[in-house]
Amino acid sequence: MMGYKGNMIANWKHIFVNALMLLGAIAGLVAAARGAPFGMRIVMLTTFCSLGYTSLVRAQGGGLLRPLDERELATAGGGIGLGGLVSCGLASSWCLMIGVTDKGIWYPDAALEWQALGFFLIGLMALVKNFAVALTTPPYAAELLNED
Amino acid sequence: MMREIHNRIAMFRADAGMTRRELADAVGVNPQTIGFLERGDYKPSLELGLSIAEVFGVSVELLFSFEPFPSLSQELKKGRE
Repeated sequence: MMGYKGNMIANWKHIFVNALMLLGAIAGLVAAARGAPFGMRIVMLTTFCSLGYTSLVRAQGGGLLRPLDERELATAGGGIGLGGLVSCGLASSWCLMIGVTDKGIWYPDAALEWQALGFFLIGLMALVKNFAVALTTPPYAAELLNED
Repeated sequence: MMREIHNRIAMFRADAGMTRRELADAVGVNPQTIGFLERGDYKPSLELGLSIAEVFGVSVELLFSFEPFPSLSQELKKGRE
């Protein structure tokens, strides 16, 4: 997708839903870091929700089993790349900060915390991809499926 | 450098009496992609551009151009002169 400078308001719904899931994942990770067992469940739930939401959006866009065309592949590829970059960037920055200064920076210790962090990073990749796709897809895209 | 590419896909599609879905099926893309192309919000690959030209039976230069295409009224006026 390129060149679209129009009103993005129709995609705000997608951006809002993804922002809610991101906030949920962050809250869950914070709770897990503080030793609350339900934190991991929240992170896991938001991760599955974000992956499910991705599939739902794709199903609405023409079907889950239909192969993506060149435009869809470019949009999804860009989003997945950005999602991976953000997640890896965050994880590597975090590792570096722990290595440089071991004071006051949380790092996973218990098995539950590692699981929470793992699910958080998977969810973050999916959410950033969804944000990127929502921002680069014009709001009239849904109308194009119903009109000839 | 990104240059704007103008196209006449909507005109040729209307002339051929095809729906977006029919053209999309003929070239193997999502109907949304045809809509984005017609609005100039997506630049197709060479393969897709050639496939669309093949469906309409015209050369790719008749469909795509760096310069804006003259409107139908301009072309008719030019034809009368």
